[in-house]
Amino acid sequence: MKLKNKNKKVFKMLVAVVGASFTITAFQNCGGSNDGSNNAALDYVEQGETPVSPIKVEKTDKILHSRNVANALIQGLGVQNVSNVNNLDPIIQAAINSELLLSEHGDYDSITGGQITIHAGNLAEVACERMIFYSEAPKLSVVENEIKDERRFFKGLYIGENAASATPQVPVQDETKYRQAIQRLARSLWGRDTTKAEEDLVLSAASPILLDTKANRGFRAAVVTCTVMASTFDFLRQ
Amino acid sequence: MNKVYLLFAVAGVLLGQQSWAAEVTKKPSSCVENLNQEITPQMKRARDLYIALTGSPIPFCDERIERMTIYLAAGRARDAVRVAIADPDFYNIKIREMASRICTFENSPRTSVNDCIATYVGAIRDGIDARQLLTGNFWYRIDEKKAPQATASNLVNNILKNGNHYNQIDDLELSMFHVLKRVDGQMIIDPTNNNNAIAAQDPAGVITSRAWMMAHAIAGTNRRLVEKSFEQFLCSPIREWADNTMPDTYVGRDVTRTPGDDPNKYLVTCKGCHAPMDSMRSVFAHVDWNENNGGFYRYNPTQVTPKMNRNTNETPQLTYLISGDTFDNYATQGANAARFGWRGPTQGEGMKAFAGMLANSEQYNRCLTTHVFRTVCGRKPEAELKQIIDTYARDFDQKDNHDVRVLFERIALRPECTGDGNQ
Repeated sequence: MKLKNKNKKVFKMLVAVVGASFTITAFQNCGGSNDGSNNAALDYVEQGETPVSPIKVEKTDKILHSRNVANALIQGLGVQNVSNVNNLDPIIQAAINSELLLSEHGDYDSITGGQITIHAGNLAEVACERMIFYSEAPKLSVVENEIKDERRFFKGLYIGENAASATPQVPVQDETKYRQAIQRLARSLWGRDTTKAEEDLVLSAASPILLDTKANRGFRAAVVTCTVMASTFDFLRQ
Repeated sequence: MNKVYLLFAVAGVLLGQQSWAAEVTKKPSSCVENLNQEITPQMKRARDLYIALTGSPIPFCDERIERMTIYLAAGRARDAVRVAIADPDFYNIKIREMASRICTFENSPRTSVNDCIATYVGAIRDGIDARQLLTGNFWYRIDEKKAPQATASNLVNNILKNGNHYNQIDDLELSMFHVLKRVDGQMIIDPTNNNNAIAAQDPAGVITSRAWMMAHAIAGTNRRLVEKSFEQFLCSPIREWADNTMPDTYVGRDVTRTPGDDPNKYLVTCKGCHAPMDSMRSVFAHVDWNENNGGFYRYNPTQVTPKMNRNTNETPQLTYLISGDTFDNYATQGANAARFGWRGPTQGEGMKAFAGMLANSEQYNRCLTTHVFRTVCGRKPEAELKQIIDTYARDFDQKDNHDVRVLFERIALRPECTGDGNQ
């Protein structure tokens, strides 16, 4: 009986030790099986598919390319054809005209000239103009003395062609509201939030325009703000 | 009362069809970002995956990103990517891009839509077994009921003799996802009457599409058709499968055996490519490209195209002439056996048999996987990622019913693709 109890104790200790070893080593990635099954579980397999563990590799960025730049601008900025106004054709045509100077395959190697940022800027300007004039501006209205602002980006700002129509509730210039517009554009175009330094930089492009006396300074400043943000590598690098 | 319900149901179906039929272009997102909502890692991942699969950046407030975020948070990553794969832009942008590289001479996405591209987009949209892209006897065109404004639809004058029909996709900004319809039975121009169309007698998927033939059957000696078939469908440029140990039984007589008066140069260099390539060139014995009337693919089973046996005076001592479309694949020995993983016959007759040999090889699956990787990850896979390509290709072949969309699902989720590369 004494021997049997001793054997039971030894057996329990053995189980405890083996179990502890497995637990300790498993979570340090050198568990009982060396097939990396913990990492292979990160491969989302279904129906008997074979998992593959992650492999370390030096990734290169990809970049929007060819005519896809036009589509990305249209989708990212929400440009639509409105009534009988064709807003998409000019953007697509501009992309086709610039095709040889944009990346061909979506990699940096196939950029053929240093002019990519210039052409990206041109495309962005075309898209931004049409977005602001045809999509944003009409979504600001006054209904029974109440301002109805359904715009996506430049909420609370006057971005029309006649600065005299601006009101205290919808001014041409307001730093807080402009920063919010930049933040909304960044989320749509860059897929992230801005830093204060980035906002300062973009504002510095729009501010001189807002300070001049031209009637359409609100519209022009909005176009410049949008263009600057839609022609960066943060947008092209998708 | 039941009749009233029936009436409403029918009206609902008809109205639904009408609104669906009118929706042939995609509307961009119009939601407003909530700046007070923090961007969570799942939201960012959802957007990155969506853009990788559709090429379209959309805001975080878009309901597609919201749905994908919920799936990712619940550990249902494959369901998350399926939201993106159900989007028209996956087909209109990404599949089109992949097909453009395969279907053009320049291997470039800078091209208008053509019948080859349309067949890729339509077939993948419909979940067709990818092998049928080479072996199938069907094609895709614009459905006039869904796009009545696409009036260039005459089979002979707008489809077989030029690209006007497919140019309408871009000209009218049509969504291929919505407007393409499958047509069973490929058609070609009647070799005896250029104004007539007849059923293709040796159909071979996209190989016998007008775009593919235009890219590779113009002039020359039809060797490019073999070379490019291996390059595009098996991701194997000829320098990789050249084999000068094979006999030069089928090397054309237009290839001099003493280039620069040096027979060794032929034996060491020229024979390496020509021995395997020419052994299959005869598959296209009845094929030519006619550049008249806009250009069309000509197939005449009663005659061997003259260019197949041209310049025989280069080798007057030889007697070999191509007399039919039988082939005998000489890229089957040594390293080529493992490279291609041939399964089934490597000899046969006609383009359909040739296409079947390519489509049933293991390398076809690996090549498609490589094409998918390049399309969704924006670069060719590095050598270190061979295990991923090989494993996914095997699963594609044995478990995933050759559904290309499954390859996109799996590859898009890889950290080597849309993650940080496991740094």
